[in-house]
Amino acid sequence: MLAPPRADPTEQVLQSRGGDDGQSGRHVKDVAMTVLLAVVMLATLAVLGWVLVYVAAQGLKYLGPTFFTQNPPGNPSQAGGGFENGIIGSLIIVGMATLFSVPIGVAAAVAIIEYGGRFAAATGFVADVLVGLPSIVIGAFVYVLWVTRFGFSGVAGSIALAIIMLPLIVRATAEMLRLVPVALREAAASLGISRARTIVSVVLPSARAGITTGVMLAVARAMGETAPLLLTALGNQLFVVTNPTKPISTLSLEIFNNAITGFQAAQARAWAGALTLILIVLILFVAARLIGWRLAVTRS
Amino acid sequence: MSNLTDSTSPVVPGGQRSTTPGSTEAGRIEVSGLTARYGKHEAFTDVSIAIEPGQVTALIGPSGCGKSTLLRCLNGLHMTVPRASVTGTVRVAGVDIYRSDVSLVHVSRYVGMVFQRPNPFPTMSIAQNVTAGLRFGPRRRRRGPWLEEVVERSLRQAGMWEEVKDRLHKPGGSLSGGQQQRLCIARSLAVEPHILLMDEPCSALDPVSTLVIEGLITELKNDYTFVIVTHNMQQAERVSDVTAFMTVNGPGQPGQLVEVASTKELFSNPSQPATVDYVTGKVG
Amino acid sequence: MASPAAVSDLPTDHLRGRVGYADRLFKATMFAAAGIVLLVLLCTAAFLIDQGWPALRHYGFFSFLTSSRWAPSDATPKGTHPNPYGILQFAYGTAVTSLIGMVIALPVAVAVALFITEVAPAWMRRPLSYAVDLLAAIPSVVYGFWGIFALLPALHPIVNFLISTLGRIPGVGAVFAGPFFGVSYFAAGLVLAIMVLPIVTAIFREVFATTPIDEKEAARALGLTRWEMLRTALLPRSRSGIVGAGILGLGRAFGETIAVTMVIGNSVLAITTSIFGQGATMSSVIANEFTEAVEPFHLQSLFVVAFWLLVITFVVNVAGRLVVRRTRAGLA
Repeated sequence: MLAPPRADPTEQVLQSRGGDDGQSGRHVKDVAMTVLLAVVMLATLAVLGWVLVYVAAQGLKYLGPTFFTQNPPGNPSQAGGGFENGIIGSLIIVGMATLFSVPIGVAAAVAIIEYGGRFAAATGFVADVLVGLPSIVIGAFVYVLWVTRFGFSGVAGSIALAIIMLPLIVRATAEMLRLVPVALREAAASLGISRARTIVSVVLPSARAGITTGVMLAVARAMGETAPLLLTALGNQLFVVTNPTKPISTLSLEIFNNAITGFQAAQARAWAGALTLILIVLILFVAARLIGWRLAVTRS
Repeated sequence: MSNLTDSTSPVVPGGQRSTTPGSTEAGRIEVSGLTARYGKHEAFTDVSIAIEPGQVTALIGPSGCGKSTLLRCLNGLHMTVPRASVTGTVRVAGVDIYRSDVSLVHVSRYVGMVFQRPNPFPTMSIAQNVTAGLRFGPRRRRRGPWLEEVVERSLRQAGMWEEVKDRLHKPGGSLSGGQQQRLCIARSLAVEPHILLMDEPCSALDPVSTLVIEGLITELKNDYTFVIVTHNMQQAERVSDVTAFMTVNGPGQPGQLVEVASTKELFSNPSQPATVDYVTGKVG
Repeated sequence: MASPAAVSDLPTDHLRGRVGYADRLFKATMFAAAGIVLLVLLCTAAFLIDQGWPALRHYGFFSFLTSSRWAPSDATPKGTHPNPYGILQFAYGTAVTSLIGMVIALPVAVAVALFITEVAPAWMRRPLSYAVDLLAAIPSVVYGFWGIFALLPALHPIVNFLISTLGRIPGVGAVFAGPFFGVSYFAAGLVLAIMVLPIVTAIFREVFATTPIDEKEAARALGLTRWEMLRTALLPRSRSGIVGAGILGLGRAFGETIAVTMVIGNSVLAITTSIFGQGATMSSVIANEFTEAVEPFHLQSLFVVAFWLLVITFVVNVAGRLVVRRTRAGLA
């Protein structure tokens, strides 16, 4: 039945039909609105295109194979060099963050969906709220938690990124666990398989593709984070560091630091870095969507 | 044999699983004064029925009468639903399965179940599906040649070994609906239960597959106690030895067990007026 | 040979204990992980207030909120009045940039979501959704960098036109006054609009998709045009969902840091009334000064800012979630 809370809309429309706004007027309005929506859609796509094309054009001016094998020069105004330190640092920090956040996030989602209860429901709600928490605030928290005791380090950066990824993984996993049919859990129970075994060997494998998609999107998000790393990993502008207890640079930090110097040579490096970062994120994004799409196809 | 509880539990004959449960108490279920609830809603009240070994017992009745819930009470699956509860007793092989020291996980290994829709595990192959209950069960035996024997024996029992022996490593979902259901039966048989519960096992299948499954039940009934819920009265007449009729007075009301009799008797000469109405097609 | 036939017949007393134990251990582990999620939120609040506490005690709890002058170089170990760490201008900057962002993003997001769910042919829907989602995948630092070099130059002619027209209006004119140097509240708001757009659009798509199809068809069957159907059957039902999405988008805009830091100008000394002027937000000042905070109570005061930012975004997010949740429950 067609009844929004206020006035009866069909009546309004039927009345307006009798008024001066005749049949053709209604259709003109309909077409006009459709065109308007299409224009807004196109404008949105244009902005996306503008960002991507601009970054690509600027980045390609400098991006080359040596960009991945050299470090930035000691003097930022000097031309040349690359972001090897940042790229390796990003891989280390984001990799560690993934190792921290995936088991905890998946386990928390299992508690929320498979066991339930009031505590689990509260966790679900808090995860929703955590998604909206500013990453800089999380950076400040990890600064207190870690940096004030052990100093700026890659570990601190990866803890911050893990906290940012955690609610994303909880939500994606919970969503996927909800889609696993109850029938599978019941089939396992009827075979005398314990609850824990059912979750580990039946439910989670069924949700694996969806969870992978969620994790990849969280990794993509972490790859681009900058603000919390300023407060935790700090960065190291000149050489490759692989010891995670030392300050480590990331691709995002290198972009930020080089972009705001005001030197053209540094900005050229930053554009190349920005293009690299976008490409990494894009690959993760497309791969995640492909997995998600295949999932949707096999389901239907 | 099978102690569902510790050694002080009621005496049950010992030894290996009997091939003729009819001679023992092993496959016997005794329900008395059972009421099942979902939260505050009562699915059925005060059901008492004895299910004898070596027979096929059919539960029939209109939708909402609680026959599926009754079935799910016989292996404790009912209790996996949030806020579900029961009062009364269900004795399987003489042991009250709702006693606090009885693990429902073990009960389900004693009482197998086949569901309305075939539900093979989608991430596992045909062979892995068959052995899932053993590999992930309480006594884990992950590998070994004996698992292969279990696969062959169970699939043979389910009458599908010849059809699938060349593609045991294909996913279970690649089979047809009827084959999937037989795979689910094989999967249940692999853990060697004494009792097999079937919740409308043919309602999602075509007529030919239905007949195959019914033939299977008749073939296996000497070795297992069967309880089958069905909507289809012809099916109850074809496969069951004993039929229990349940009914419900109206939506939201709890279901009741009206009468239990030998199938022939119940369909030809029902004693209760409600049964007469149902089996003659006046209601339901 | 191990007899498989005996599997379910062996006495299970000792096994039962072990299975129960493993099961309970597993459950406890899962809930421990859930506990970590809760703990993160609680600890964040506790740690921030703990770090900010010396400054709060030194200057007084509310003195931060009554001043709009942030001048760390004026701070001395002893002096308590006036508080050199006023944060009102940051709250103002956060509010103004986020409002500009939402005023632009909300209508665009409604239009985009309507186009994707109702107008676009079926084969276009998925690619279009992905394209909009892609806007969310572009990192903040890239938006900031792009903002400086691509967006700001493009803004100059438009903003100068606005200054010469709107800026002349008495009263309201102060809000649109020049001069315009590029970096500004307005530029930050625009970047925020782009960044928030995909998040809000995604929620709208979900909300619009929950309107029952038969209701839409009923409207079409009455001879309503598509636009009339959207206006009468879809939008009124989606009202609270739109509000919730707006609130969540606002929460996101409040917290955005790096891109804003790069295009807002980082002027911390007072509130700038014109949206074309320079300023700072709560998050940008933390990012900008954190590692160089050497004055007395400087770092502690930044933690006070972080704490208030946490409180504000927490309240906004809880409100938004509750509204969106109620919408979903109401439609289910």
